[in-house]
Amino acid sequence: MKKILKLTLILLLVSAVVAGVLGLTNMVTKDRIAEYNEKKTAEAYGAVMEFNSYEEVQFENADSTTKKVFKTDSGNWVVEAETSGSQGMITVAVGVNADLTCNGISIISSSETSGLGSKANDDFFKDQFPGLNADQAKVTKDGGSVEAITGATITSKAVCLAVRDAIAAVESLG
Amino acid sequence: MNIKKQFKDGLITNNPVLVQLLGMCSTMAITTMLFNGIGMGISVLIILTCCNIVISALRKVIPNDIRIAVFVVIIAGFVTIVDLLLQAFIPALSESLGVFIPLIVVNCIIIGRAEAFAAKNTIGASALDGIFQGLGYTIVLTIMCIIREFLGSGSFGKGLINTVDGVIGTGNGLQIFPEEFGAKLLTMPFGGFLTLGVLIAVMQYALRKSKEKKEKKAKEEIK
Repeated sequence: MKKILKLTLILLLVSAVVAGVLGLTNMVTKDRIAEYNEKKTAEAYGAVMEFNSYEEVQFENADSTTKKVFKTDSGNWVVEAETSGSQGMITVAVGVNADLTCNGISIISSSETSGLGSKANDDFFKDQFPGLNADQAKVTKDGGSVEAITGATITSKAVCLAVRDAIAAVESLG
Repeated sequence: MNIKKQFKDGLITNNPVLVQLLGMCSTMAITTMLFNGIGMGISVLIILTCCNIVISALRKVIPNDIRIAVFVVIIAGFVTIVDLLLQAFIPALSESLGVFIPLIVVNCIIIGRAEAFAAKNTIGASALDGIFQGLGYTIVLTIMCIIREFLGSGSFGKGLINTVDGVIGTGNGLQIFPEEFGAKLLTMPFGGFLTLGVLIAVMQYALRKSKEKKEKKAKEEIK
């Protein structure tokens, strides 16, 4: 009995110290990480659509990958989507034109395999999206016109799904 | 304390990847470009050294029954610290390595060295062990990156060497031959298996040769 108590206390102590150190590190790095993420998000929005200002539009649909919808001053849309890739969630910005075609995509964050899924943010993949409508935004195997990334079909399909959902979301909002 | 022997152990005779065969998952997954390899190697080196020092310092306090649990808590702590620091200060590397930084927690090099070395040796020796084993790991990663990047996509130093605007982590490296001619399969995970297999074979050959040489010498001396 005494032994178990001693073991528990030691493990608790070690964990508490480690937690304390982690808290400190988090305090130091939190602001910088948030700042960097904000900058990246803004850059991604700018890359997928030209606009001067935008305002957020209420959109809620638990089944859709679309998380945030913004209407820009030019009448076009920027959608932020979270889609499930092969290693985790991929956050992607999708520009949608008023005529329901995709204007471009940009990956904000992902944890896809380096050298395979991480290529979703390379130009050769992204450049396939501008001009596509909801039917075309599928990988070629599924009857669309997007050439999947070699060795990263799941990632490619996830991004296509995000684009289709984004277009559908914009359509439903009119 | 035998610094010279530890140095040789970490880099050659007991190299964590090529001889102990530890930490293979990250080795094969991230060695697609030089920037990743060096970044991952140095991250592991730092974490391994810190963990070795702390575990060695606590080796007499930690009860034997729960030592693994305590090791894992300490390792996870250091990995998270490095992960947060990378996200804050070298975001390009953090993005490029992705999930493999948090996965250092379960990298067997670190728990392996903690159990096999730090738990039994002095703080100084454990710190050196961390540095040398980490260096051994980094060197293998670097060699694999250079081979796979060159044969797979015809470039050298992708991410590290930036000929356009000098920002670390976004460079396109030196293109030695056009990317289309590269053997794409080497940049895929099983290309990692092939490269690692060849490296291990070369290493074993070299180790055996040097051992035979030594035995021969010893025999001659007896005569």
